[in-house]
Amino acid sequence: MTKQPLLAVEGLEIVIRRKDKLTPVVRQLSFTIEQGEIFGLVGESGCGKTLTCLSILNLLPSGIDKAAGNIRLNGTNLGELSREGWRRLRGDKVALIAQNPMSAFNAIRTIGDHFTETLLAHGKSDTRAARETAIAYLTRVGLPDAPLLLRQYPFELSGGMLQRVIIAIALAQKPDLIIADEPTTALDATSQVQILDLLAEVRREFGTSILLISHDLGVIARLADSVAVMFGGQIVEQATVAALFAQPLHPYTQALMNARRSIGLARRQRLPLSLARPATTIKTSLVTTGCGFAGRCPHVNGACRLLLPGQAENYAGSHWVHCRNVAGSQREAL
Amino acid sequence: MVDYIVKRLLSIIPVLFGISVITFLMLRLAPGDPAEAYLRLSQIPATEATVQAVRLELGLDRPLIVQYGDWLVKALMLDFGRSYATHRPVWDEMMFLLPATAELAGVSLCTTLAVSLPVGILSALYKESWFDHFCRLLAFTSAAMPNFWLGFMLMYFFAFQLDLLPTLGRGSWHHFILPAATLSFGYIATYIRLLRISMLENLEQPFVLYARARGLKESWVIGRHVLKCALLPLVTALGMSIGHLLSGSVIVESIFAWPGIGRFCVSAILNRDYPVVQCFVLMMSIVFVMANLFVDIAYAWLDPRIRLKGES
Amino acid sequence: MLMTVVRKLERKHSLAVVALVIILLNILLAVFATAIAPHDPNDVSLERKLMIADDRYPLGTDHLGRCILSRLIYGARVSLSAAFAVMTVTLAISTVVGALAGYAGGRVDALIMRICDIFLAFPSLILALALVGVMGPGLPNVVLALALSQWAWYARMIRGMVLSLKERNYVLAAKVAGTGQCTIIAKHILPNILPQIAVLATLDIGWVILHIAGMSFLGLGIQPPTPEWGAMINDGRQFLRGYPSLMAYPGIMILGVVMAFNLLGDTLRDILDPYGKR
Repeated sequence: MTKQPLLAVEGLEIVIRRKDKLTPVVRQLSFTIEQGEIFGLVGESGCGKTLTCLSILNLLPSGIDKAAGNIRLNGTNLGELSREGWRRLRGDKVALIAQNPMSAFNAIRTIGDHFTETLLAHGKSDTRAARETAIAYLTRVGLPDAPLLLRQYPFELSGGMLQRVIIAIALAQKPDLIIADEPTTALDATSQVQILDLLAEVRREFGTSILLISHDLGVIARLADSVAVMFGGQIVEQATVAALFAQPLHPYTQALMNARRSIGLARRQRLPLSLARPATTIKTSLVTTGCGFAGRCPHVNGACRLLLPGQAENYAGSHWVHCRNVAGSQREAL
Repeated sequence: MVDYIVKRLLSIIPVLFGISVITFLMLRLAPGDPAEAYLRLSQIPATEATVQAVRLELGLDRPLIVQYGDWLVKALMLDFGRSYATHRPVWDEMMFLLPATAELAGVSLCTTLAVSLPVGILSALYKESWFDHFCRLLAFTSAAMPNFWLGFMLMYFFAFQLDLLPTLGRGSWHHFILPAATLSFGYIATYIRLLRISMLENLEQPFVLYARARGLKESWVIGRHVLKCALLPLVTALGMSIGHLLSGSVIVESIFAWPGIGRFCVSAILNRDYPVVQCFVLMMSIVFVMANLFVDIAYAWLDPRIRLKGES
Repeated sequence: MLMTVVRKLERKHSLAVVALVIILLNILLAVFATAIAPHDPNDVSLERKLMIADDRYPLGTDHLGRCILSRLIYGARVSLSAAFAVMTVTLAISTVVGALAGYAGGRVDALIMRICDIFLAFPSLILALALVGVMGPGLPNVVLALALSQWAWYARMIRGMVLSLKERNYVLAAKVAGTGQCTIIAKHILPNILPQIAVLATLDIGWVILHIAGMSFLGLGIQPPTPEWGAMINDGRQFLRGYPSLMAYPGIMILGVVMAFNLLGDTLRDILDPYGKR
């Protein structure tokens, strides 16, 4: 009996609508997340990771629309949800942890206000009960002196503490899925480790699935079970973390790995960083015909520019890659 | 917070001092002799002797600094001399007429807020709708309209043509309607614009996305988060408005024969009744400064970043 | 630079062009009033008083038999020239003071800012009224009074602009090269803040026109018989019940011109993207 995945995204397409011109930013995106799995989504800025998260919550900004695709949570097709249905989903079944904890809060309202209003929005009966729950969860995520914290304002806490608060608020409703969009990017190194450990603990204790977005392979390596690499709005490679790091198949993944390594290498031996340089605007990484990576790929050939990479090929179980060249050359090697 | 209040209080002292100097010196700009103006208004013929006598009486023969010092001390004791025209103490006259002006200003302020708040908020929430465009057009037009003209046009339609409202004077609540409408019209435009921009800016903020991501009802997102932030700049604007309301009342009171200080002052200006003009300017400026001070302190208290940290 | 301006103008194309046309029209009226106006605006004739519009007098006559249309046209000349005069004087004072404060810094800056604070403490119309009240009515005094009540605000803005430009590389380079202070201000700093000042001035002219009209309305501004829109509204006061057109037309003129200037100012601001919010 196959357990149905917690989250199933099929063929997601997101477009930017500007004056009757539709520019695709996410194309044919599909992935699944199992119960209790930590799924990493890695890619450079502008590749569409955040937009993917937002579309799971139906919070895409104006001018950006979901053009196609299905998103299923526990079997339910989210596309059929009403406005109220979406509201109930957010913060309750699916929670969001955003990149910059300081800006996620309203500067003129207390932590307690933020926490209790979330609880009240999802069925808690009165403020006193909400307060107690808040204190319990704040303590659970390791924050000292929770009652004082509730009275404080966001600017009085550090980034790391605020991120813990956000996690606490997310946990209080016992969500099925936590979307963590670059949760550690804005934090200092020590806080980064603490937050990642906290998230690991959350999955251990509550069995919550986590969709972990990052541009940092180190974060993914530390926390995720499986990972998908995104480029130009598409997933180019997907595998378990171990498999991916052991044998990156797609040229982009390889470049990413190289970029990490080469920073530590001596100058003489430094590998070219040009392959993994980040796209500066969405426009440059978007290509409408052929493979999106063709412009930078060292193994590119004529067909790559004209034809889409083709269906993902499956190697060794759940490791697949979206590249016609790998399909050919690497198959013999395996 | 206390530091902030103290700092602000200290900073207005030189300003108040400067206001008093300028107000005092203003009269020196007057062409002609204040003594002669006094005589004219008192309907005493101006001869060598009378002019000299009045000079001595008003202390106009002493050095400027001494006159200033004397004037300042008297002003601090609320003695602004007597009106050249009515011969009654200026302060008493002002105090007698102040309630009427204050009432009008108060009603206008309330009207302004009552109209501009909902309109501004709705305008922002339903951006680019016909309502939004209509309100912006209205706001734009009213900002360009001379308020005295508006007053008369309103008077024409409502009082003369439709015979609904009284035109002049102060009496029942009916009398408030036209003057208050005229006075508040210009400010409604400003506030609608201000609120709309403030709302739109705040709606873009990341904390709004986060609030929605937590599953808050839209009414909570707007009411508990966006509005609170958006209303803050309005507090500052209120300070400026109080000063302008008081000066705007000068014109409106003239139109509708509203018995307030504004109208009194206009006739004082026309009659060269200098003590009244002086007192009026001084009073209005001090009220303006104090209103801004109060508003600044209120803002500092409302914004926890300033209240607790001392900076924003 | 010009292409950006043109491209952005296309967006608000229709409105801004309309505004510009209105303003130019008024300027034309002002300059060529003698040629355009059908009658002498001061030609009094009690026999012709309070006539309704006809062929000879397109907008009718006022209570003294003067042609309203002619008075409106000449009024454009008075109002516009007064407003430009006020802006010129204001900008002259405030640019000198503001640039000095911003560039010199230190005690000079602090002192000037204090003085600005004091002037800003007066509600503007009240200061202008009082000044006109003591100096006596008439156009020169009105111009001076309005300039005195406005300069402080501009001085502050200009000081801010100068401050932010002071540390730019080309200014420092000029200093190193030994260029004199005045030359630096005149050749490097001022030209760069000119667009922003132009936007502020355009947005403000409307306000100035309104205030001139307001003061004339109270009897403190332009004195009769000179035609001025605000004064015409005052004249028409007593005849409101029977002849509202005496007041209506001048008001509409003011409304139109001020709206045009505000629109132009808004468009300029969108295009040139000036400092800070107003």
